[in-house]
Amino acid sequence: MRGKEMLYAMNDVKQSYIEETAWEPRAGGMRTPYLRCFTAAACLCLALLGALRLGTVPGGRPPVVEPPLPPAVSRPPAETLSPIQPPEPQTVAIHWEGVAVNESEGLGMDATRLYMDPALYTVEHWDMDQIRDYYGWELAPAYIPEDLTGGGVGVGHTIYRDKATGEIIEDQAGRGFWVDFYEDGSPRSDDDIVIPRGFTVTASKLGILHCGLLPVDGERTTDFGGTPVTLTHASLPYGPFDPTQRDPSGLYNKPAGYYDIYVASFEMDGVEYEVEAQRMELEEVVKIVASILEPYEDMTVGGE
Amino acid sequence: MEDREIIAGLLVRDQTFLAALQEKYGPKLLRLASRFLSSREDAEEAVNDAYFRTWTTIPPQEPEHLFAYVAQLCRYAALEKVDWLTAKKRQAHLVELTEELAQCLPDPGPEREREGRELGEALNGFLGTLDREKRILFLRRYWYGDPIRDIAAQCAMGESKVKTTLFRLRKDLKIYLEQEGISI
Repeated sequence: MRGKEMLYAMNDVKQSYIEETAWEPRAGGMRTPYLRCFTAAACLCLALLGALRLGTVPGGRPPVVEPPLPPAVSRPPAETLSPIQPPEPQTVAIHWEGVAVNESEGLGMDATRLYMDPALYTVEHWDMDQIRDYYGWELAPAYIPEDLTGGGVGVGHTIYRDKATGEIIEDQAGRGFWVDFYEDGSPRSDDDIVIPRGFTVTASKLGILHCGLLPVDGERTTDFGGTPVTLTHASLPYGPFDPTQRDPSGLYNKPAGYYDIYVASFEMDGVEYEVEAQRMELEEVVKIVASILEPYEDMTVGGE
Repeated sequence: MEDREIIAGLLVRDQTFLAALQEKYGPKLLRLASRFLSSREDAEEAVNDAYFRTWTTIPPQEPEHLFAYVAQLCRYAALEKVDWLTAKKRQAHLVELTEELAQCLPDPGPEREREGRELGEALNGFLGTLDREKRILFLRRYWYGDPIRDIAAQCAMGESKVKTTLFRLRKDLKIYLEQEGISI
């Protein structure tokens, strides 16, 4: 029984490899590195978002009034969501004239990460089962472009709980899907542009503290089968930057080129979601969001 | 409790840390053993064997990776419990695993027989050539014994993509072992 010998031989695999492939986050392990990459960028705009919520925005922009949300989309029981694999691929009819994309100048720059004093807050690292219990699914959409994967890593999730009350005060979870990965699990580009192609899905019941992009003008929403979704786009420069030449603004060194970032924000079943995609087509982003909102039914986007 | 605290407790022979180990990794170990054993009682026994072996080997051992260390003992205990003569009749999953792994082995040569440990070393060499994503797929399937469906769910891949990648990895491993002169 030669396969049996191989099964036994597998027992001599290095412990570091075994540890590396254990699904659940280990003690001391924080968010997945690639999620951290996005979070680091996104948290820059924390303070500005906080100001938005308080109704005062640096620069005097009026507060954004959220449109009323329709009834939450009901999802199938959690046990059927492992992962979402509809029997038939979803058909998404996109009426482009009804798709509103808010333009943004890019990431906010003047915020800092909240410091969670360990004397006051406890940190918990949840595994996939706990995520499924809390959010009802594994944050892996039914539609993922063929060239992207989760890189073998599950949901990255760290929650903070108030020691005094036991109440959860930060519950943000996220998962990334990229074209390639470094050894440490962080996303890697597979071509000569340093920015990797891929996207993240972030969820929070308490409200997402980090925003990827800040709209320049008023926030317009797009109808996704009855759910309003805010789509925002920015074109950002990537390096290397040529110090001998200036970009069109004349303020910065000339970049090697520009890439697209799209952020889709929406609420579903009382949970805030943000899909942040870089170097992806708008159509792909629309399909990802549609497959999250209603994986088992065809959908019309942009109104009838 | 942190792994290093548990290891430190085991090193001073404090049994409460064995309970901490059980509490922290018990469900994962039981899941691992259950991949290879069809009966829950057998799986629980394998996990208990692993705790016992952990207790008797730390000290002198002081593992760097506690879960991996105990999981290795658990996996070994589970494989020891497998009744290989009858396993085929009752464990389709195990048959599937052994048949897939048999495809990795070169044809046996009369003079190049080697011990299992050398095969293990070669496996480590092969795993070192893989990128992280492929290594995870390979080990989740053949070390942890995970079903394809679960791996696809965890890695957010289609099942067909997982199968295709594993098929290519088995072929690559066969070539690697041939180059290393290994046959069983």
